[in-house]
Amino acid sequence: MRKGGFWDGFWRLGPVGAMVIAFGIAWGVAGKEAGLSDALIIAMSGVVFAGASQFASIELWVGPMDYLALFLITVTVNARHLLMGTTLYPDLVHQSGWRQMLSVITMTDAPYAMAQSEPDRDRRIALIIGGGWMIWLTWMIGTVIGVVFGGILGDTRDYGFDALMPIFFSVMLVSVFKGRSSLLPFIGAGAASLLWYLSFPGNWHVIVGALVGGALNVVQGEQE
Amino acid sequence: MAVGLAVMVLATYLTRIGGVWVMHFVPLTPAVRRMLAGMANTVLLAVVIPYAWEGDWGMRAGILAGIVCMATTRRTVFSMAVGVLVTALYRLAL
Repeated sequence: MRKGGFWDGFWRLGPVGAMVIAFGIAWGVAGKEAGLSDALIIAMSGVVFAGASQFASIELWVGPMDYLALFLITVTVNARHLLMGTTLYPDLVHQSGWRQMLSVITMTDAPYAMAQSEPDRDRRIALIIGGGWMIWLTWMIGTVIGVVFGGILGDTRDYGFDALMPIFFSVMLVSVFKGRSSLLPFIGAGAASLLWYLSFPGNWHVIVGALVGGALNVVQGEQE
Repeated sequence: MAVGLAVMVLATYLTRIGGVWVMHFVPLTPAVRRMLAGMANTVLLAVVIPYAWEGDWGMRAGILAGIVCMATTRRTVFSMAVGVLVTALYRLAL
């Protein structure tokens, strides 16, 4: 791993990091509003470092703990990491097992997307690691600001902070939407998750929707 | 709290290392690859839908603005900023 790639990746993610600070503030505020402790909100950002699953887990921290649901929802919301890992395997294969395990600690969407245009394999991994630490740092800064100053910001709904997470996901959805081949899985998953959400308590609509979307993608592939 | 955090750390790290680890042993068949690809994409949709369903029109307008902006410009951060701005302005105006 070249050091130059690390710092290049770190600084190239600066503009995205600015948005991640806002996202972190939204997380800090959302966590506090749900009644989570300051320590839990900040510790979760530091060691879990996966915003989507942190938001998705909020409901599960209120009331009696269901560890199985917490595990399954975290895995499912972060399932896209699995795909990133499979596509990075050729870049990592010549490195030691320990290096492979350390390299993916901060693997997340924005650095992964940025590194796709880099032709050099070693440099690509260095960019993802460096960019990942920029995202981690800004995520922590945002979380702490949200927890400490969330109160004096007033109602952050006025700034649209509560909409940041769903908007981020919607924007990501557009970037992975591949036209007609995505239509059936998207509609099926959307309908299944909404029906489940309206019919049953808990957060299983996320898993149900993704399973239906995945299954429809397989069925559609076999028909081609 | 510590147990819950440990569960989430383990689950998240498994997703980060899992793809790399699986490739050591199992070359993914086209069907498995399509299942994972379909899940990876639609899971975001399944998370977003309750927000759009339960949210006010300001949030829905922001989500729509973000989608339209991303579809036309393909700039992630810019589209997020536009979406949030639309939500904020909508709530300010109404």
